[in-house]
Amino acid sequence: MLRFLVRRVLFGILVLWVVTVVVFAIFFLAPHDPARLIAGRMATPATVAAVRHNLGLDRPVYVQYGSFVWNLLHGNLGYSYYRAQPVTQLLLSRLPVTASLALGAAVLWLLIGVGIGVLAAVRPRSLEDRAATVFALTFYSMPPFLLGLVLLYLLFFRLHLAGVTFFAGGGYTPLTQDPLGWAQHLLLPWITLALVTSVTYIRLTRGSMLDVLGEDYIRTARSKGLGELRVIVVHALRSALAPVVTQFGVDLATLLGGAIVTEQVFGLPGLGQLSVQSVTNQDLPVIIGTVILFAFFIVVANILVDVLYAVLDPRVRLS
Amino acid sequence: MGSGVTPAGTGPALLRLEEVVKHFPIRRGIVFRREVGRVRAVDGVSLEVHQGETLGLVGETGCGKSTLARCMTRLYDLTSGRVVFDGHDISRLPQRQLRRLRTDLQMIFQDPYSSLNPRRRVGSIIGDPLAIHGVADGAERQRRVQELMVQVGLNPEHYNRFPAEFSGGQRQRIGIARALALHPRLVVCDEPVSALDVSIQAQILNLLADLQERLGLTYVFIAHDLSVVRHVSTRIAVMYLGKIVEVATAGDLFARPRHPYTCALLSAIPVPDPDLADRRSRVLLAGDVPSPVDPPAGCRFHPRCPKARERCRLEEPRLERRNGDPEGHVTACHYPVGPDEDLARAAGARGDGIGDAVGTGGQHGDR
Amino acid sequence: MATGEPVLAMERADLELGGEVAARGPWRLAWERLRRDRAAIAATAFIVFISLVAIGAPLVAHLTGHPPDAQYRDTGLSINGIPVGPNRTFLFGTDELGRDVLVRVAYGARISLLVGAVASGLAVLVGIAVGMCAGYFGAAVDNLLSRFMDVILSFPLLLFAIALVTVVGPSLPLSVAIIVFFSWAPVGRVVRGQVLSLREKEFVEAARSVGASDLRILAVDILPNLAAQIIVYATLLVPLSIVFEATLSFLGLGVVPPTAEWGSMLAEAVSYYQVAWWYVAFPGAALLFTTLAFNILGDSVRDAVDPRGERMFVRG
Repeated sequence: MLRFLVRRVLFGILVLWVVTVVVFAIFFLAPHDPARLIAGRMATPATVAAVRHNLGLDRPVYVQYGSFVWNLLHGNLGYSYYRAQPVTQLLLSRLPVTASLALGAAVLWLLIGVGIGVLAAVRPRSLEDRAATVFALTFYSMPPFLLGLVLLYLLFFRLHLAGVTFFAGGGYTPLTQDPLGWAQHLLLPWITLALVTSVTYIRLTRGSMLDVLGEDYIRTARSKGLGELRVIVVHALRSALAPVVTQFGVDLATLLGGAIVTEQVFGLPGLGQLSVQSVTNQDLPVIIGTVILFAFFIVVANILVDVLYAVLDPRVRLS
Repeated sequence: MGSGVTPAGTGPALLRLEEVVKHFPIRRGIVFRREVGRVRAVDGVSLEVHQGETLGLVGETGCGKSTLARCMTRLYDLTSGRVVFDGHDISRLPQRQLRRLRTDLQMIFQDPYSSLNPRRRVGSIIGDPLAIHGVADGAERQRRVQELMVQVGLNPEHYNRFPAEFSGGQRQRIGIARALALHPRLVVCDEPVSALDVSIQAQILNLLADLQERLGLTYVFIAHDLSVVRHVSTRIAVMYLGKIVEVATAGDLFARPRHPYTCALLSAIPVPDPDLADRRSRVLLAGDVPSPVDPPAGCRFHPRCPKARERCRLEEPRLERRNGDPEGHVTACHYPVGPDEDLARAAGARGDGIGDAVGTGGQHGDR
Repeated sequence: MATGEPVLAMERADLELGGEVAARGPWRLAWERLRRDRAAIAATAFIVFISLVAIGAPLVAHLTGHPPDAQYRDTGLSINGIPVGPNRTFLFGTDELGRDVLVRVAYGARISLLVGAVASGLAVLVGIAVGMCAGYFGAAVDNLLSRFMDVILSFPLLLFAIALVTVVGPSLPLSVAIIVFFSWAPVGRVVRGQVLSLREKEFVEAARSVGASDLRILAVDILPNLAAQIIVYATLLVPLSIVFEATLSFLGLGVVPPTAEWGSMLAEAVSYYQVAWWYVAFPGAALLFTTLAFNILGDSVRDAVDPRGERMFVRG
């Protein structure tokens, strides 16, 4: 177990390292100059040079990379080129938005996905099963930005016209300021993400539930006279959830890194929006910060999932 | 096939194995895969196959006989040792030259299901060797393939069918046709009938015998069951845990087995006559075959041998002619079984529970 | 030995002999199952239709008399400068610049289908090549490639795509390259797994024992056994590629304006959805139905080539 963990952590560090190298490579091999961009179009060459020197961009690439790694190891991601803020502070200020979005959506998609999946599996080939299929196919094929637009039109705009002003059209209110407003602003993004993501969970739950329901111990539980609901929830669902857990870890990590498209559609000031903005501004320290944070989430989630999997399913031996 | 074709041991050696060793390394680690052990599948085998004979190779599952077969045909690279085919050392031949050798040295595989590509038509499978070696093309190839199909008892009109449309026996005929396409001199048959129904086994064995007579083939015939080998072999080699323990002509081996392991194998053959079966001693071997990763020191058979003594634990016996045996009968045992010895009793005398034997009724059985 | 020739020769021989006996090979059976699948037929019909629209986009422009980039500020915009809804002149309405949405949707089909086909095709090719090498040549190669695939799979891909596009500048070939780079790895992984198990099959050993070279074994013995999986993956990669490309364009990182493209049309529609529902509805429906059709077809193909395998979306 320990050896396994050490190996996974080492591989995670390797991934993080590769990620930083690739980001550096993209930005230093490409023919562009952030100093010129920051200094503005009218700047004299001397100003540009001064900006460049201030940002440390006139040093050789490997020196910049070296000092970057050195700072990173001290928990320091540098300063944004544009905003007078340390990158870590910037990331921390955006994280609650993205976390609210991701966690709320996660609750919703688990409910939808596992619920529909169980329903479909309990009576395969029934009307419910077919409806679940149509549902899954539709949202599997639906790009999130399109779904977001459709929801905005139907649930925000049409309802507003009809006098129902429950859903907000965009923006963000912190949970600490106004819990209801927080939920109102996030409800549509939650639904968007949840519907699109739940498809995977319907498939996984249905598949593994069907497998489990065919096992002998389920038949035993039924023949003992246990109620059908009890059989399904207590006996079958528990062991059917292992693959769901795996998927959940990865999905949640991906979203914590920023639901770029959803944040864009609903104007949420989260990590996704920050990363898009910093890319457009060529704000290298912020880009690297977001990318590393994202890769970090994925790496950690992967390790946690493997461990959790072994706990849930004793047949898996970590070796 | 059978003992009448060539007097045992008199034909020239078509294939000679000299101290053939094949180890498979076991590796651990992700980036630096260090070797943590080796499976000693074949561990120093010397053997000759004579022109025109059938050499039976017998042993339990996992004793390395299939690995040995793949070393003979150079499907595996040897760890050490030499394979000499028709006077030429083929053990170090590079891939390119090896391909020419394939015309002379062919193989029939054990599993008629996995040895035929399910996505290819039978005609294409049998014609594969002809295509690879540029022997025949187009209509000529089809003619040759259909000839082969007739030769092995398949309907040539089934040329375009897929393997899934044939039964196990028919599939094995397809495998035989493929092996014969290039007119090989030596065919290594790796348990060609063990995956088939008993009723089909005889048909395939007869076909192989028939083809041998007509085409002058030499066979190495591998089986885990002595009863199959008995009827087809000129000589028989018994293998245990990567080593040859006894070699003799088929008649001699059955009449006067010398190695305790051979005796155990012989006693496991079912006898159709119940009275006879009752009177026979059954030598039951205790335990499983030890792991080839870490074979026992000395004689590899000693942990399961009813006759094992101190010397067997320490000194590895050489494969050589023992007292009173005819020319060509060699045994790797310090204490070979005598003509009237009862192994079942020896096992009891050992008294440590290992190698317990079940003997009922008569003492010596019918041999 | 030159491996190309015998392979070709063999296939020719197979063709010449085909049809003599009514051999119902695995492909034939799959085809017959597919033909009986009504959902698959409907999906195929839609794919054919949208392909015809894409090819015939200039014809649509010609019939309506509206080139894709022409702005009709008088007829196409209301007095307040707001897009006009569907009417006789503009069947699908107009956009914020007074351009014909119908014509632009038709032209958008060209980009989506082209990118979908090219990107998924290339991704599958790369995936096959890498997966086969990793699976067949074993240990060292396999280790390296598998790690590489793992790294790619844990990359924040959209973010990288965005970074790359900002630096290099948006263009269609770049979009395709990005999609390929991030979609080949799953194909590679599946192919590798299959090859690993196929390599141990006796028929591969049998091929080697009759003297087949590695290349011939890969091409003649292993590839045909992968074909089913590959076809399924290719069909399912098309909608993914289409969505990926539309997403890039939606974020302003795909095709360059004024090129008509579904994703970029929807991006502009974000500001107008309250006054011009048609601006969301038509490009959105085109995008949704196209991906839906490919997904249904892909699922049916999977079912047809491997009836025992699990379908992605089970139908009664």
